[in-house]
Amino acid sequence: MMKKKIAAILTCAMVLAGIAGCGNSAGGAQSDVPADSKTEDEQETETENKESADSGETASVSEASGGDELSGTLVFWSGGDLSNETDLTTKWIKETVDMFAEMHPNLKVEQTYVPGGDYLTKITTEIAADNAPDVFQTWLSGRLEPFVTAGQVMPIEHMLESYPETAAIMNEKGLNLGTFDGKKYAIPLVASGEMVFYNKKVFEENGINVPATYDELLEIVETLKGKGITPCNLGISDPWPGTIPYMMIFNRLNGNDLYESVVLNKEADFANEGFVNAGNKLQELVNSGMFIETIAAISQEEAQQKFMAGESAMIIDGSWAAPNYIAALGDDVGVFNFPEIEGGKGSADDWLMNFDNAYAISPKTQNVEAAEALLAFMFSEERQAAYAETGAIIACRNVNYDKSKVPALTRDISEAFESAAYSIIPWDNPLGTDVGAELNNTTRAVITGEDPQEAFEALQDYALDAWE
Amino acid sequence: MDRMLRDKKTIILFMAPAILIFTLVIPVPLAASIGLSFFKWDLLSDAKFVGVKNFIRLFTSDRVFGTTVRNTFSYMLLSVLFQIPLAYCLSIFLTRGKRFEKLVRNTLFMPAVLSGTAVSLMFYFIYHPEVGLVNAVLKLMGKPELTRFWLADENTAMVCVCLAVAWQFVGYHMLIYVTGIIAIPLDIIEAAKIDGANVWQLALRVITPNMKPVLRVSLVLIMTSSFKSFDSIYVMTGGGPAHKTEVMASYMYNKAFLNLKYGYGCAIGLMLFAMCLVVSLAIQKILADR
Repeated sequence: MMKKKIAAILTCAMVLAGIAGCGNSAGGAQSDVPADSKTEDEQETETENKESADSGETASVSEASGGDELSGTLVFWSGGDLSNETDLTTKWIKETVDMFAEMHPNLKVEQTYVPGGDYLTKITTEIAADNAPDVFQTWLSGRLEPFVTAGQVMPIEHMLESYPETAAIMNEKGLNLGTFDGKKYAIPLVASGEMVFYNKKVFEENGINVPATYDELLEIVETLKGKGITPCNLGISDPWPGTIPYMMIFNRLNGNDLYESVVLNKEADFANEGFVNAGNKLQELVNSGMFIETIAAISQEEAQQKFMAGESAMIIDGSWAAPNYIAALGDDVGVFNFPEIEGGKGSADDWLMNFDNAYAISPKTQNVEAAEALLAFMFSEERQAAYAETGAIIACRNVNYDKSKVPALTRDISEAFESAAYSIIPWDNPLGTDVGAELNNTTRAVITGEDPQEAFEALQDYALDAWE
Repeated sequence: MDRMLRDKKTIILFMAPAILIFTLVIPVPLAASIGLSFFKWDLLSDAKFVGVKNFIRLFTSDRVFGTTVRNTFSYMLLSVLFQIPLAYCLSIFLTRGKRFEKLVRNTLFMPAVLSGTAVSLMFYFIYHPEVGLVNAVLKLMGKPELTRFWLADENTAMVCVCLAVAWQFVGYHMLIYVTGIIAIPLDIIEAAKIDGANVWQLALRVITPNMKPVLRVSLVLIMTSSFKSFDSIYVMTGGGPAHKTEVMASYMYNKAFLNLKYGYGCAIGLMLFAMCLVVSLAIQKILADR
């Protein structure tokens, strides 16, 4: 009997311990990023940094900045994957924040990196739970707007006034995308754009040149098809890349007025013949055999692999893919903008351009001074030069860096951006996630053969509903 | 021990954890999402009360929602069609006391313990237009005209997804039926055999009438899991092409987490919940023992 009682008590204890255990883990998950090995690594490195700073190894750095007075805690969040060797941006960010932590030994800096598409969900949840990080990665234009309206990002004017060196290298075009009601909220890190990449070797071997007109492009397609070469790679199993050629064609045909009113000012008018005509032209290009046959079924990543393996003459992609192409094809890869269409109002000098990876400060921060210092340090000329030398196309201007360290293709792209007559923001940004995603579905439908008139009428209905 | 277990205090002590979890973990989020479905909320700013506007929108102007409801039902129907007849036949053939039956049964059950994501990823590659098994086999058989982009083709995407899901769960439902058949008293079957019943007669006249409760369980399981289906769709098609495989669960995810419309997402979730409830009650009613 005694034994049984003990057994019963022990069972109860076990059950209770189980409950307690559950409670703990649930609480832990709320206050921190879900158990992620990277986060732990992160914390390890931080402690290391702190120790090395304490031991005086980096005294010179902290003296240089003269900022030992910063103390307390600073939480920094960014998207990015530290385990990915080719993710040079995240590597640079980590290096920058680590340096900042070394310069301010009394400040405890906590960094978190969220890989992949989870960042949006994680950061919004964190903000909703009132755990907003002090400095964090955010978006620009249409995607930053909800953060601004909700008062979840702090204006950076004070920071720019306090750090004139940072203010001096700001790119107005980039800052404009983070400006609402005349106040600046976020600073973009990179400039990006979408264009045609081509394999110079394949072009040479087949005696073709970069096309100056749409008709020349069609001729190139014929030539390449005749030799059994896929002219252009593109993968739209996830539909967004299909919108890139559409936006290019739309500009060459219609110029920018319609884009400004419908896309930028959200005056829904997608059934307008300008949109439909561009859809027809895109379909014509698809039917001419420009794109790989399996376009609808492969992902853009697969398309990239094929282009890098030399399986196609061209690929339409974003400048963020340039480092991979340089690594695979070296000097054999070049870029051009989609050629002009005869009778159209647009120009091949109008580039699809955007700024990405914006950073902002939370108004809830308890440590404004440190947060501003970190942001200013990330966007200091020294750090921006280091970033540019990794081959990135930086958003900041007037930064002196060793251009010889940068591959020729990256230089070409930067120059193209600087000389752009007009910059078209890739539409899904200003349109916002909802209508933007539906636009991508629409261009996908057009590419796979749906009647453009019907497809864009459906998009118009969708937009009217979403924007009411 | 017996007396202790009959003691009210002991009963309460042992039931407390389960009751606590059930009363807090299930109804609280449920109530919260019912409440949230009357709000417009992007997580960042304060939630704004909009009354039944989310629901009005679901049923009037939102074209995609109607498609997702239809898709959810076709997913359910295809799953039932692909899984139940096959699983039923298998269970009858694998309970005849022949050799290797247990081995075959276990082998067929194995996919059910795999993660849905892994299975979906495997089928993503099986259906792949260039490196996929299906197209390769068709080409080998000299029928290249039959090859297609299985998951990117509006006509085949849903069927392909449901086949992949069926591959995973046929063994699971087979096992449910096998236990049902084994539970049938042996003397009934013996008696039928002595009366000269063949395999078909045995299956149709003796086993099937006794299987009703088991069939009901498996039907409810398939239908409710179809309503909740998300991982297979998310991995294989992402809801595409052109919303052709978008089901209510994936639509809810997209609206809430990608478009930051949490109130609207909750409204979709609530509809899903209501439909789940209605359908399972209907099945119970229709298949009830009279």
